[in-house]
Amino acid sequence: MDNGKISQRQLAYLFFTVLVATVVFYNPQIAVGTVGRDAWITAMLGSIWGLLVVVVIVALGRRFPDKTLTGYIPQIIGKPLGLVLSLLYTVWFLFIGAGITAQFALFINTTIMPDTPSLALIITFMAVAFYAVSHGLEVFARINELFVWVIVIAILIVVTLPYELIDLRRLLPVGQTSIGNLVATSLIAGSWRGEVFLAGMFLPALITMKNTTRNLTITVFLIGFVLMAVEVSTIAVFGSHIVGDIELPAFSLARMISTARVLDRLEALVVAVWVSATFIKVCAFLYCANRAATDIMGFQEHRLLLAPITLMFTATAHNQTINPSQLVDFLTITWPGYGLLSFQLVIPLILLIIASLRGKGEGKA
Amino acid sequence: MKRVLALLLIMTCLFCAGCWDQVEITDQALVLATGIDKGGRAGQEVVFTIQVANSRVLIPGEGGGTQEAFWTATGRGNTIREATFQMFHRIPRQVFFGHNRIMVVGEEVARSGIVPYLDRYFRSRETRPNLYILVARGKAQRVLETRMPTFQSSGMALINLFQLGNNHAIVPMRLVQFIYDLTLENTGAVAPIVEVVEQTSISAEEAKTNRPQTLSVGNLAVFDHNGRMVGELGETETLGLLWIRDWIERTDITVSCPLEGTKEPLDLELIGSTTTIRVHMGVDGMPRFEIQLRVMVDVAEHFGDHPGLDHVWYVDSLEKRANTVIARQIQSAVSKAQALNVDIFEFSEELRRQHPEEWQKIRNNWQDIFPMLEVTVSSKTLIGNRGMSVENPDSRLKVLK
Repeated sequence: MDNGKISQRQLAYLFFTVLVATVVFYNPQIAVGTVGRDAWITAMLGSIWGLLVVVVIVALGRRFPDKTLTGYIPQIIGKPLGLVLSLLYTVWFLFIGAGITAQFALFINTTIMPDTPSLALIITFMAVAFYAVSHGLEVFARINELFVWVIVIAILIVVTLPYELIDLRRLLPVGQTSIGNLVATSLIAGSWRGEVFLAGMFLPALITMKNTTRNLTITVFLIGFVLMAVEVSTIAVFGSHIVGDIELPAFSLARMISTARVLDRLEALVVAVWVSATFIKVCAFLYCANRAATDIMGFQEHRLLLAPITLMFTATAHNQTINPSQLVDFLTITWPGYGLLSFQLVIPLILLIIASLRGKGEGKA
Repeated sequence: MKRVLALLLIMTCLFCAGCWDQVEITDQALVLATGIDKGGRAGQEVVFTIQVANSRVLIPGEGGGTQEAFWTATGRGNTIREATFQMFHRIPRQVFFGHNRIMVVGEEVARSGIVPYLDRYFRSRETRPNLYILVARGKAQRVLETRMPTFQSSGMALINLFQLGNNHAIVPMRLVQFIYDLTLENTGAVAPIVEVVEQTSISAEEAKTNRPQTLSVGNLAVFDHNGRMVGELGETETLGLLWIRDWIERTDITVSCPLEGTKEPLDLELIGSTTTIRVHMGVDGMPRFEIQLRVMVDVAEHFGDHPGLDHVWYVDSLEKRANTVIARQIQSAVSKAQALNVDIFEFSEELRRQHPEEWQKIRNNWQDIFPMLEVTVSSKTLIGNRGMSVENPDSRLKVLK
């Protein structure tokens, strides 16, 4: 088994990057397209879904302190059924992780490198991710401690520097959308926030479990604020009608920056955020897929399956190379059902209920 | 193993030298401004003109001399992109639109509907949607081909002019703002008009031999919510629009002297102003718009031979007169817009912000309501200082009545 240990801070930073990576680029267009100028409310509502996921997954983690999610599933619902569910989780990590890799290539193709074949981008990206993950969790958790500040500062710059064009009155009047519509749309942002359930795979690697719920909750709400800031800023610059109609509003926002004739053309910053954050995110998904597969097979050595899993990741990512319309369609229609409403929240919740009814685990929850 | 890895790393450097897709700046054609006109024949709906900087002239120390600072090229096609590709046959360089800051729209295009022509500017990876949009009187091509004595190129002249901000009745209109206004329900958009005029600032001697041309930016083209240009705002009306939308930055207000019997004008220069629009719902369901202004001005010039600025009542009276002038400018803009039946003030949007429920009721009838809207102005002008002098020179001998 991978013996890497991470601290509470590393976990919180890691999940900040994992949760922020794709959502700030793809969610604004969908949310604003659906609920218009009230989109930022859904960004905050999404945090509540994230909070629920955190509570459930940490409660499960406390029952089985030395096991990962896929490790304790067979203990809760029995071996045959448990293995099937664990396998489904492995496929989930693989499928979504590969989807993120495909999105990475799509983003780079859309914005700065239209001529580069997406397969070349995917292969180079996965090669680096393989290298990072093969050295264990500690390695990419520590790289991320550097990246996270780059990401935070870059997003702050992109959100505030178009101040000349920001007109906050474009957000008024607030709350003209029906509550049901807001909640339904928040499921999309919430599904991204629900990725915090990956923590289930990381909890045994923690040095101490103390304050995990608090730290992850803070992370989830911080993501809500970041997403809200991006949505408020894009709506204030473009107006809610246009944001729904432009690809990657956060990137377009960076293109609008022209401050003091010196700070101009800052979209490279956005690409830097995108590359570094997606890299960490894909590393986390690759780690989870690998860890889950190792758990199912009952192997002790985590590197054994990493190479074939990375290959499958690459192939699936290439298979999933889709055009933006298909991606937005997937994110709008399929993603909440495949994410929050099943694997992220509902299944872990059922697991928790069964575990407490059957008295499995140490019962410290 | 380490040796192999080290060798691999060194090998990787070979591929990272950045020479793969290298483009030298002198090989690129940097587009400064683009112009769109309407073609006459079928299959040539779009006449697309680009103005390209001669990069050699722009490099300090190099070039200069007799070389022209820019050149233009024109292509025709069904779409803007098709017209661009058609142009490539004659341009031995890679055309780069990343520095395109100006979009000139021919009057014919503006009048027939501008919306189809906007997509390319938003979809392009290179062009930024914060470029400036203008309407040309006549052909856009002619504007871009103008060689003016006052600046290297007409495109760069326009960029420079707009980067100075809202200067009097010059309104730099960014494409994002323009499109924002068009996308709003019931709201129209405006764009400044540019025309080719004769240069007048040269000596009479030179004017005899050749008559150089230059560009003049003024007035505003008014687009209805379908993106068709339906009319024009003159200077006074433009200023009224700027007051209402709180865009005004630098302007002057000319008021007449409060003294009886004299017709001496005083010039007040704007320091700062804020506009608030209050929407009051009448009992009959008709909204009434109250435009509240707080204006700070300085005395810039007293064109006369009477004293006065040393007296408090005189200054107070100037402030009241300034209020009247501002109100007149605003009312002229409102009545012009009402005559054209285009809501260029975002009044509909303001109504939605302040009375969302009432807005729902009348949003579909806005075209019928807008021409009859009642707009009142309540402005409060404050005179800050009177410049570097107290009274005009040689005026103390006169006695103030």
